Amino acid sequence: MQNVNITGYELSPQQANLWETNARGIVYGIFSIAGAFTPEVIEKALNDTVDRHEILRTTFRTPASMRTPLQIVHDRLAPGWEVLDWSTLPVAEHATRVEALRQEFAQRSFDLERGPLVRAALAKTGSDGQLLALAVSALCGDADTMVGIVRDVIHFASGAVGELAEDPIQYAVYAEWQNGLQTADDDAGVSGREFWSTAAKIPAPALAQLHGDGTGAAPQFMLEPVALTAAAFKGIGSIASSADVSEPAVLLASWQAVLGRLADRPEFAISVVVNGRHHEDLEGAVGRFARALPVGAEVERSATFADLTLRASSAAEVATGWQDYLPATVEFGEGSIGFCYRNLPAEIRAGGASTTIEAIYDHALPFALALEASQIGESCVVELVYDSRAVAPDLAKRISGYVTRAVEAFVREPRTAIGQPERVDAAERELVINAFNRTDVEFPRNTTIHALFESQAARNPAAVALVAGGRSLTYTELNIEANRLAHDLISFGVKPGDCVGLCTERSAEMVIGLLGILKAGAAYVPLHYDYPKARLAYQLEEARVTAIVTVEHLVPKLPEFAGKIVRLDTDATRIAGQPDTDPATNAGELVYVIYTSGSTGQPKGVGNTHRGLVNYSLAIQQRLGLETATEPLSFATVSSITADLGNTCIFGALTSGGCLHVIEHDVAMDSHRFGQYMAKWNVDVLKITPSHLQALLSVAVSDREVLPKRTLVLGGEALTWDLANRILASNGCSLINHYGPTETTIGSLTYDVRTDDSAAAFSSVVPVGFPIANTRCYVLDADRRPEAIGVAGELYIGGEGVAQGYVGQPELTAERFVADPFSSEAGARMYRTGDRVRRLPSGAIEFLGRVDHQVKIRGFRVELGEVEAALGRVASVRQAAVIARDNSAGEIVLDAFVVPASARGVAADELRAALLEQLPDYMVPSSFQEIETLPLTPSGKVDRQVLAALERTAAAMFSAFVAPRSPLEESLSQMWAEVLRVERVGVLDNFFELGGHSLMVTQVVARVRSSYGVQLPLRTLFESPTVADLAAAVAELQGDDGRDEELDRMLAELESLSEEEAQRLLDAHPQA
Amino acid sequence: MSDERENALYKVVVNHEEQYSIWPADRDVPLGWKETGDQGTKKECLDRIEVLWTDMTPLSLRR
Repeated sequence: MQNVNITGYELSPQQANLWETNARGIVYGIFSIAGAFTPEVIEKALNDTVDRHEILRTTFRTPASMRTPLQIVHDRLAPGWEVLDWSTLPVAEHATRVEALRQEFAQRSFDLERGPLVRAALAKTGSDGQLLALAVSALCGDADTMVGIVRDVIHFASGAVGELAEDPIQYAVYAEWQNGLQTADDDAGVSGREFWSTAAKIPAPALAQLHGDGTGAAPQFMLEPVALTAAAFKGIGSIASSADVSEPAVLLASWQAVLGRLADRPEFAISVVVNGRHHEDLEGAVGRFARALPVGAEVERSATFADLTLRASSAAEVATGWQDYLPATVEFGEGSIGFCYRNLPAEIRAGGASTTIEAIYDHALPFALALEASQIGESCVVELVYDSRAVAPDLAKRISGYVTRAVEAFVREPRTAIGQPERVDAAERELVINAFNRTDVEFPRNTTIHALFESQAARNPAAVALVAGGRSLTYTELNIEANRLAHDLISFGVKPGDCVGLCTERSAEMVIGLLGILKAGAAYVPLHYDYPKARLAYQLEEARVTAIVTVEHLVPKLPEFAGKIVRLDTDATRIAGQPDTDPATNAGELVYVIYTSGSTGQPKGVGNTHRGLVNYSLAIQQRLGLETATEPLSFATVSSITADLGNTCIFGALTSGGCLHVIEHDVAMDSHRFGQYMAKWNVDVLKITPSHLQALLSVAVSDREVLPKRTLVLGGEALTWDLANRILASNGCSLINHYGPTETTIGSLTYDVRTDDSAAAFSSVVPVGFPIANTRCYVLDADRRPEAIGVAGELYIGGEGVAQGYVGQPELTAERFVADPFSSEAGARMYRTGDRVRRLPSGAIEFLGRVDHQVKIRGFRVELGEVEAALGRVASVRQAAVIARDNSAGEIVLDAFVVPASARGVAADELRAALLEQLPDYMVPSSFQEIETLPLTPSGKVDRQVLAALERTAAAMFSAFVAPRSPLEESLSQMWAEVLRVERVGVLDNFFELGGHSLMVTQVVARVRSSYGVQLPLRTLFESPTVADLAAAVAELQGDDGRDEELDRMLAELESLSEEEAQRLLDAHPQA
Repeated sequence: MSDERENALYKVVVNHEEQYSIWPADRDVPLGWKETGDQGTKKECLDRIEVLWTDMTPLSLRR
């Protein structure tokens, strides 16, 4: 390195931007030179060209005091030079050599500090044919620079120097001028910066999860050709001329349309690369002039291609007009999407010599994905350039297909709405509609679920079928008890097709009751004894329940009922007198009716069929791998039968000859007792919600304590990888993620979760997986057409699991259960789930969220609309809105915002109590805030985002903060704050109003046990939900060293209270 | 995505089991379904179905 000129120039905005994003970028091209030039002549011409342009002998060095380098122009800096002779090689070999050379030039990096930053290779291909490969650092050039260099080389080589302009503009001068504009305070400067400060805020189209391999620090660019026919190009041309826009604008609009679908968001910006030579003196200039301008797009599905083209054209034009003022700091970082349309000459001529461009690549800007078109003379090459760290090759191939189809649809009919063309081609359609849904399996279509149980009873008469509440029944015993109940019900007029209510605790009666009802030919309707009577009355009426099976002490919990009530305990003598044989009766279509939250304010009853349940039960046995089990397994259910979550184990056990453990509420909520139970009974299979499991794990001594021996099935809520990996790390059991709405019978998809699952790299939650036997899943757009792999759509489920519908609600049924146009079975229906999902490349379905306002709370479906409707029925409420919020523990809690009916306002405890009269406790919001008016969106809907942003001041509404007054209160208050994940807890604050729920009660009880060595009954906290009361109870238990019969009696009394009763008490006496 | 065009036109369709549903008016009816002849907004079609669909048990299972 001699003659170093120590003068340094500042980087231009383009260079500064590149320095931050991809300083190692390279621009390269391949040219074929006709004419009998010797290699020496070309080398000399190249050296002359480098002498002519300072930027070609510039290097970059960062002074110690600076963050960005200066560009240092050297008086002489010879380019890299190499001569190759391919003339003796067979012509067929040339293409391979060219590709190898292209790759080498694409990848060989430059030493930015020392240079040279220009490299060339000349390959002799025949007697007068030569190929010139040329590469420059992207800091020193762009695509047009390549053309400029070759033009100069040809001029020098052919002696036509006189035709060259005398003083080419030097890059340092340009850089200085551009840097001046960056801070110009004239009108144009101010307006320009204003323009970009707005434009730069539009986000890129969030294609973050395109399944690339994610490895490597630098971009790994790959190419995927986009096959456009000559007719398509012609069409682009004629649209451009008829709409009076440029051809690039037409292609840009097509690209925006494709991205709009992929991004599933209508507004975004993509980076449009312009050549930066918009001033006359800059034409043919050498250096980095090209830059990427963020250009916004609004791609709503109803827009036509013609609309989009006009918008794209004018947006790109406006942006181009302001390009001189684009701040260097507007970065096109990783993940941004590019578009580039280059116009290059077909031929570069000088002094009778001619050169043609084979290819030019400018891979400087680190786009994740870009559509690049190079118009070279009359021909146009369109390619996708993608960074393999961000985009998988097979996805790039599909996206290339989407571009082709979008352009074809566009040129065929420019007035087509952009949402119109089929996204997927025939091959992908076959994959997503049929190949991924190849689940047809023979199964006994016309049998009943109780017939499957009966055949197990015949096969394993002495095997234990049921363990519940201290009772243990063999298959024969359970079958006999169920038969007697069935005959008893029949004697009271219950007939096939009837609905019979079933109201029990989690006990043996629950299972006897449901089998007995089924054996009478009726469908059972689970009734939760803790639910408000008004809600139960609605269910009884809607489902036209003709009889109820229950136990004596729950009768007071039931609403008035005109039909027969059969009490399994007090009517035992009568029932025992009934025949013990299987009743000879046909069953109706329905097997059970389960009520779920309804958005219009009333619950809706899903009528499930025997066929669907039989199919599910056999399919889940297969997914659990029961055929490989040497003996029947034991299953545990910890859920109420009022939702179908626990049915996995109930019917999985009873139809496979397994043993069903029905675990009562208090045991299921107490990690310690639950662990003891699991250990005692060696339970093989457990189904539970992730949040319930998490609560148990959080206080368990070891994870294995609460996990089953063989298989854990998680369902009802999204499963995080964190929890999944924690379970797998315990090395105890296998893990299945289970998904399915009640409307398609318990479960439709399952996913075997394994360690080192590649899906973990690109999905935040564990996929819900693949359809079970005789089930079809479709990811569809709003027009019910298949979405492409990787693109979000709504999940529709068809097949045998599809329920009959919503009992007594034909219009609701017709809306959600729709014709399945993809099934080969005539007249088939599919259920529209309302779940937003997408397919992973493996075909597995990934859950992304809801398309509406339904949320899952501890596995229960809640329609926010139903909670709002219930609030609206409270007299003191004028208007209400409810939002769901993720608390810091990843649990969903509800916040209510209430506009009072009068100036008197509303009291939170009054609202709580009023809601508990109408709704199950999990639907009651954990906070209530008074608000003057509900914020509305421009379209007049409640603006939930504004509500979500409101400070959560709910706690302040209930009581003034009272600081802890003793060390015990201090440490309990601390404990609550941790469990409730709030900052502080006053000693008079109500546990439930701070967001506490029954799972959190478990945690408090467990912590109290380990910290203070006292065993608090669960009910204590329900009865006395303040730190002050809890401190008193703990102190009392600690002071009680002998057996205190009075206390035991009181605690026993509290134990007998249901959660609901306890809460009612507490609502009546908040400070009790 | 979910927001179906509330003003879009639908038609009432029914299958061989006399199960009713709604289908976009401008699209061909899937295999095994036929049109009842009722057409209108989503709400109009659903209201019509409430009148037409009196027994939700599939035809082949009615007794």
